[in-house]
Amino acid sequence: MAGQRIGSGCRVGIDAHQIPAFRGSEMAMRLLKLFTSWTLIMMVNGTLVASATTLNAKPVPEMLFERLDGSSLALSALQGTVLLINFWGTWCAPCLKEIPELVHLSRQYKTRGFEVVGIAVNSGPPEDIRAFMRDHQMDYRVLIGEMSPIKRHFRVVGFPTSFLVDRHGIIRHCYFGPQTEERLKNDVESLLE
Amino acid sequence: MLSRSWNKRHRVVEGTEGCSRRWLSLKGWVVVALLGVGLVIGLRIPNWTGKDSIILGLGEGVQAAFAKSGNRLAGAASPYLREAAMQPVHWAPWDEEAFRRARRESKPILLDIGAVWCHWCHVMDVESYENEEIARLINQHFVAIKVDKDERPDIDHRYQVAVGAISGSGGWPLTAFLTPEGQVFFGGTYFPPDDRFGRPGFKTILQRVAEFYKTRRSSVLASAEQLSSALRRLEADSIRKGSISETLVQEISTNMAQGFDPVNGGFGTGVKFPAGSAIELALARYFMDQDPKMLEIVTKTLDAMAHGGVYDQIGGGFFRYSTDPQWRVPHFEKMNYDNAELLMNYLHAYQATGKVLYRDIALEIMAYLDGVLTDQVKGGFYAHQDADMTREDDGDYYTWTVQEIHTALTQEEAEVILRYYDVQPRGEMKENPSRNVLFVAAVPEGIAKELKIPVERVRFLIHEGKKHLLQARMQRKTPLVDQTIYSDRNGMLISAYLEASQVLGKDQAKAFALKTLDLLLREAFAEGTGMYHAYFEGKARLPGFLNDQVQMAKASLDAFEITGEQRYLKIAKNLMDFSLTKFWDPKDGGFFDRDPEDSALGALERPLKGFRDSPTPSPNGVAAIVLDRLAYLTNNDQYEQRALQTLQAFANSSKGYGHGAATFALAVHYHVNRSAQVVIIGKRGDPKTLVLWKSALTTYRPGKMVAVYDPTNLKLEGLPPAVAGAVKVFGVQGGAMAYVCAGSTCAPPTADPDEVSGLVKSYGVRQSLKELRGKG
Repeated sequence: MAGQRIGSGCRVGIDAHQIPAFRGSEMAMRLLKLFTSWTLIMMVNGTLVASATTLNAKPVPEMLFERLDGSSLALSALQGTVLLINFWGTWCAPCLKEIPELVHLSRQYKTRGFEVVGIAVNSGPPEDIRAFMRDHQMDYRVLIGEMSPIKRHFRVVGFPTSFLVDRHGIIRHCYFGPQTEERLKNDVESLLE
Repeated sequence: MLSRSWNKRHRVVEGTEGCSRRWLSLKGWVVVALLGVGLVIGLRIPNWTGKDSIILGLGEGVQAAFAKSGNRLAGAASPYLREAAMQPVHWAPWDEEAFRRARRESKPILLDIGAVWCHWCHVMDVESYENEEIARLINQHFVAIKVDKDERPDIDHRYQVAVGAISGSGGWPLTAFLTPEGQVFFGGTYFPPDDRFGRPGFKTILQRVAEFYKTRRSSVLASAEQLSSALRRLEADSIRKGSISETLVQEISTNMAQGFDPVNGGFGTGVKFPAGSAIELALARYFMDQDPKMLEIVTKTLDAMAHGGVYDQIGGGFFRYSTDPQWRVPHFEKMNYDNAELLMNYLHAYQATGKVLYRDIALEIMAYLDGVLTDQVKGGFYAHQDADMTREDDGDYYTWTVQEIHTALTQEEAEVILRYYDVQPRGEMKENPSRNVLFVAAVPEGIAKELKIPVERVRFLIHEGKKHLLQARMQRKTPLVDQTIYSDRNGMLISAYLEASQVLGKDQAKAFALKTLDLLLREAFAEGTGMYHAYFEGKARLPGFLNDQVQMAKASLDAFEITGEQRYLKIAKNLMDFSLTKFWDPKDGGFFDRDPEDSALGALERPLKGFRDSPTPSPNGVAAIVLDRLAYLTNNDQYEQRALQTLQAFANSSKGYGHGAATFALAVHYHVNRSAQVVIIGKRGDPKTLVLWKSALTTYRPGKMVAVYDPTNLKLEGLPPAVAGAVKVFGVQGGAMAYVCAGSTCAPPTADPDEVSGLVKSYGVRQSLKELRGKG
């Protein structure tokens, strides 16, 4: 879209309009209507994008994040654990809605090798983030991330965006907008099996 | 002497004298079918197709009688009721006392509902209610009640439905015969005084109704009760719950498009009313997926209206409606609410298309309102301006003869103007055929060719000619302005003026809107009682309806967005809390039009929950839009829940109503396709804040929300947590920052005004269908 140069990590699962036979067909219209009723679809650089697969099946981008104690951490250090990487901010209302769901999810599966990693963006100094975590009973790991490398490496165009990463450090699912525990559970379980 | 041109207004709607009404709430035949036969046996009156002209003199004796008379309307505030105070009919206002008298004397009630701007109400006044003989008949056999429909939309709606159900038509004057309990047993709209062409006149009707009531009272009471309960059932049946979705909006939009007149713009094929909410819905849908059909609805309609006789070509502002599908011959009264909606339409269409005509029309509407329909000193928008100079003419103020054009203009100007507006020796006003309605009939290029002068010259002469016609018109007697300040309509106008201040950069419009808002909040609002319905001669009057609360809440939210002043947000919240307490239907969701706990005379005991625009935007639709915005701005999910329940309450009844369900559909559209939500955190005086704010406010995006918070003097408690989060970050950031969200995601924060503008325009806009159309 004009005036909006953003990349994206999430793509529509079934890219109807890219299949010539599909284009303009009734089926395509119906499918697109279906998407539009529940998901956010955006046009970026001339392509239709929403939730699913540019980074799908690719390794988690190499990037360093800051721990709340000031030290740094690469996500590759967490390999062997199933990760839900959640990009969020204290200023982002839909993210705040999602947090209780993630807290539940994390508590439910952490003993089975699953971890939620929140990446706080543009959310103030570590003290503020800690206070925020206390207020919201967030007992999962939170790191601090810089906006521009996140845009570049993870192609995040909106918050919250989450990636589900398998034990081998491969991105298996991508979620755009706030998710519910209910919706994430199956995906998490399938990677834990 | 009174000489009337009966036909010209009704070339299209044959045989329906009276002021048309945009929506009949229930289909008449349904009730008739429900009731079977017999309701008005002995009273059924053959259809009248007469188009006779009536010439009636007002005798001196009658006039003298007025002076002696005086009835219970003497102290009324409504100009319509005041006018009737000197009629020989013993009118009573709508009150307990009148109903008590009817019960005590076992007399039926004659109910007249009209309005001061209603031409045919005046005709009936002059012909019947000022006639001694008819007045005597009424006083002897009936208890007469007169109601101003602008003051009491609640009474009007219910009786329109009831009379519509038995007579098949509605409008004003509404003439209804009621039992002493207020139930309708017979009625119609305008009745001529004398029998004519086999159709009984008002005199005969009065006699027969009185006779019928005396001799067959039990059957009258039974059928009235039957009608009343049928209406109650029908009302309940017509509201069907369901789920809401994008598909529902598509269905209503498609249905609306089917009613669109592709030749002349507008909706339907007969009389044409403006359809402000339909235009807003089409604009919002076009913005979402670039559907060319939706754009066509907007441009075709607004072009045709701007060029039509329904627009006051030389004075600005729109008349109430057109009697023909080409928008040519209007009813000339100018209502403030139509102009509020149309101002909004032209502003948004200008933003969407950049077409200069739309900007100019918006400016002209405002110039008209500023000059005629406002109290520039204290604030406030007046209700309307009449069609006629006196009760004896019919739109003469606005129409022209060829001779009058020649007198007002130079020869050169007249040559051009006569062609531009197609002014002919025989005009559109049929009974007074020398008079012409002004509508644009030619393009300057064509006139230039014909007269062999440069097109620039033609444009100049049109401009000058309009100016001189306006000057000439000012010599005529100005049609009356009703100076009542109604809260609901003022809410609409405040919102439109605030929008104009952003779209056109007019600070004056903003200042006047806020002056009006502050006036009404000071004088016609109190916590616990909500908005009053009207403010007139320094006094707040009439308990407010749902519409007063929601339109003023919307205006307050708009004021909050533009001023950043928390007090306006507080007022909006207060008004919606009040509405939820007073008007909410706890059983099925949605809002009643009035407090169901309030004393209810006559048909008012029938609860009414409307979702259609009639003609102003549906209060339930507006309520849902306001609740959704409030939920976001106060981070209170309760409001969102109520918005959803409101929309669900009508979901399954809204489909077949086309553009009549436009506000409702727009509310569903905003609920399921969330627009951009912008929060700006920055110091109030900081130029960086102002530039981000301005960028957000002036960028076009239907349904967007903008909130500005100054972090330096803000209590964090009570703020939406996300805003509180952003405020905390402010100290670290050290500068103004904009947070743009849409639906359920947020863009990365930015301090760049151009990026803000880009995000407001496109963040989260679903492009799928457009994309598909583009490629397919």
